[in-house]
Amino acid sequence: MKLLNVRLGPDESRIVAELRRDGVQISRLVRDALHSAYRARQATGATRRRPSEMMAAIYSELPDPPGLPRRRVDLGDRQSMRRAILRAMKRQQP
Amino acid sequence: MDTGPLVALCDPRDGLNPRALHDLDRAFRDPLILCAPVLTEACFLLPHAVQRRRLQRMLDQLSVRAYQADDEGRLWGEVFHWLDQYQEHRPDWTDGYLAVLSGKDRRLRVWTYDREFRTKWRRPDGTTIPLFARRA
Repeated sequence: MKLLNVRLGPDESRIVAELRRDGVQISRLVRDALHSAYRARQATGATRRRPSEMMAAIYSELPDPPGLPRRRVDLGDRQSMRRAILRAMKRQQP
Repeated sequence: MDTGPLVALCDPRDGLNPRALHDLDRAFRDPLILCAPVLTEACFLLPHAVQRRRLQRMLDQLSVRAYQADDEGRLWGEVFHWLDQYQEHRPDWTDGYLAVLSGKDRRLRVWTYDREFRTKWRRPDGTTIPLFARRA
């Protein structure tokens, strides 16, 4: 993980002190703000792509290799997923 | 995010993929959060290298955030307690983890296609777990 240092003015320092007194985690606040700003930037960028369009591009750039077997699992059924995970774990055993 | 939607998004051949994409477009107004148990299950169900590259690319491009507990050890204790309460239904670790997280932050909604989150599982305090996706 990288460390980012930010200089704060007197008003900002006062705000940080008050927030900390109220139990607010400043690091979490900063991370939330970064993610919000990034998402907003993506939403207003030139491409204005919906997430499903981003996924379509990912599928196109990373297609399935020929002959990839289909998974035998119903993703809406936890029992089916459990059986599939157990099968996968057994395949990994030496 | 629960395992079902995550895997469905990473496999365009899966029957739930269209629904997951539709729900993703609706979900994107809110932050998407992923916890380690779900990611672990997803990797078992996405064993091929290209499927995992899709998964990583998706997490990067959609800014999916890793859930970070303030005290993971304490969280484990809460999950074990929840699992004990529901033991007759044989829940998985991931079920308990998501149910407990739902109780920690009232803003969280679980995106799952597992009916048990609607019909069986509750938060540790007994309240309904808010769900994101529409009913099956």
